[in-house]
Amino acid sequence: MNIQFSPDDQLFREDVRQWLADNRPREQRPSVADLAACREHDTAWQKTLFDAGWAGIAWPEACGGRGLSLTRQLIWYEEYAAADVPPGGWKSVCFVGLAHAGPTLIACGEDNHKAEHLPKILDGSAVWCQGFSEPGAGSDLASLRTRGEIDGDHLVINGQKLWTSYADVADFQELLVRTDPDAQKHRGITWVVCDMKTPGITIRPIRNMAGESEFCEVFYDDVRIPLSQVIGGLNNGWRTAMSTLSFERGTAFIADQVELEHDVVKMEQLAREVHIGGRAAIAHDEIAERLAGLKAEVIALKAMTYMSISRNSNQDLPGPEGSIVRLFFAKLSQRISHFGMELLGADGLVYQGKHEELVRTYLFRYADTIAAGTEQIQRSIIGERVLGLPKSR
Amino acid sequence: MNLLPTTEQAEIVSVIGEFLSSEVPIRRYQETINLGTPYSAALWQQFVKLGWFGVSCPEHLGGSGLGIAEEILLAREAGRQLISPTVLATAFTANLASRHDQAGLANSLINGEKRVAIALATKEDNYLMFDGGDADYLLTCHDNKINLFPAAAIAKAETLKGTDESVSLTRTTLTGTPLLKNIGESDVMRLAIGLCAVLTGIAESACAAAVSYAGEREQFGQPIGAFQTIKHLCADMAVRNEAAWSQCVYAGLSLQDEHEDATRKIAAAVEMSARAALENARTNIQVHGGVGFTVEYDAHLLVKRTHVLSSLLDSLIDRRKVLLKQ
Repeated sequence: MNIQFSPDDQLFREDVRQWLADNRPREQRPSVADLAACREHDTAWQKTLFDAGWAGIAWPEACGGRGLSLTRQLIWYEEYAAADVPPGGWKSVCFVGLAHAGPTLIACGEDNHKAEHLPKILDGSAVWCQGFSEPGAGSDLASLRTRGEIDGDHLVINGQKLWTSYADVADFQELLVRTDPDAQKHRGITWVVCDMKTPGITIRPIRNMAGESEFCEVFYDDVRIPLSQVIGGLNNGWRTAMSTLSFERGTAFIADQVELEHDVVKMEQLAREVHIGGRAAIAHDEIAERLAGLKAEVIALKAMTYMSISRNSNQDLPGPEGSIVRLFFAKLSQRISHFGMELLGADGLVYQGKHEELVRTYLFRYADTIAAGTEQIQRSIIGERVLGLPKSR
Repeated sequence: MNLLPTTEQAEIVSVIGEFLSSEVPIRRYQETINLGTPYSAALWQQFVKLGWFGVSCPEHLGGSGLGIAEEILLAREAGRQLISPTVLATAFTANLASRHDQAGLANSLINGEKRVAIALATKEDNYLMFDGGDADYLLTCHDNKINLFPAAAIAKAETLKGTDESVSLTRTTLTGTPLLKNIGESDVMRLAIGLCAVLTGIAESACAAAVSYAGEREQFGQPIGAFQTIKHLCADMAVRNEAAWSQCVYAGLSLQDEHEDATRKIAAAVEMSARAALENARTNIQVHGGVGFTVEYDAHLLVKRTHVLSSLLDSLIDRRKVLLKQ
């Protein structure tokens, strides 16, 4: 057990810090009301990162990455969070490509798939979205019904997907379809790459409770996808999807975990600025106690992230313990922003101006215990796959 | 950076874990509650043979020359079986003495000749001593400071009925001066992180007991652990374990490496481990249902010991003040 970063890691950290200081964009990311502008902004930034060698830090060299350790990737995220730069995690349009589709292709794709897609993910020229959930298949993902019928050397897709972030600005989609309706439900699923420009795709944006529309419904009407775009084998999509989800729950949110530390710092500042009953909020015992608890928890979140990286450095696929960190993160992020709303009091009722960002974050955080598996699903994974408890009969 | 134990560390943990679960398992309290003299001389010698008391003392004093990482690994195992706080206090004091030019004292603790009990200051200027029946020294925790007294400093001793019946409890009044001078903050923090690791062991023990029971106990025609209500309670226990242990390691190693924010990290470890131990111990009783409320199961002991250790930690560090310091 050690928490020492090697001299080489330290040098790497200094390089990252210096580069970010010199190259970070000075302009704000466009509002998500204009998704095309977001795409332009996020992909241009990704291209800049790629050109400077900061894309795919922990991806294998054969896949276009730097082939460095997860520790180096962590260092990058830590420095990234400390610098004032555009969103690095799930808020970027590049997130699904970098955190889901890319790692899945690396783990399960053939060489031609890797050659076709990975370079474009890394340099930001291709944006990916996810097509997993459906109206009838949420937590019970394996019950998905979007059909993929084989017709010659194509799959013909009919059905509907839901919660697809950035669908209308994406180039490709990681799509789960039912290719064998007669097989047991986990066995008839295929993971396929869908080109979003294929005829027959209709996209309808959905407004979320924060008032923004970055996610969509996607409808498929006789959408033809070459069978060559199947990843991990026909009817073997559940296994491929599980590797996608293990990345999602294991390593995709490292950036967000690291950034949460800064949210608590903001809350502490707010607790010193805001006055309640003639005193700074922080001078009230109950508020101080809660804030101390939240600070302890973000410190622990960092320790858990380190523990998770220590575990994942020794294995190809993140294990089910990823759900522990995901669940801890989700609950904590919600309590931090809720704490901020309480400090704001009536000021939190104004969704513009000084506190707009805090209110938006508060509203957005409701998704944290739903996206990437609800908190209930995460608990079931922990119960069954980490603790070995029996499944319900 | 790697928070997982090395092969050597895992080996030590495995040997210690087997020893504790066969020689002093938590179940022992079913037969021998409240003896006041926690461990026989023979049993104490087994701890000596395992190298427990000298784990982090220099080799020329008979120790193993290891560090805080190994200390907290042992403390966590001790927590899992509710080992007497005397064991932890003795190992801690041996290390403390070895770094304060008290080789003789260190040696007498490493070889099992002497024992140290731990005591907590009360509001009335006396101390509550735990398992101190035959201790030779007393390690007192008071107002973010620790002191070491010889047993001879005990002027008055009154045996009390303790809330935690698995440790003996004595109210003591002390006279005279402490043996060691200038015990600094980093030493206090070293004791604190050890206690945090014990609490984490308790939290893990509670989770393991609940999971085991939930897998066996059947109601409505299936193991209760198959029901999400129970399964999710257990999952939350696992989350608290992971948070507490990760933070113990992170904080312990920060102290080892003399990071300037080590105290802050230890304050976080106190928060996470005390919370994990109490919440998990409480949940374990809930998962067991009626039998968890009886003394025929160990579940209640985890709750009670947690209160002892949390009180000790509260006397060693002002968690809130440290965490909110800018």
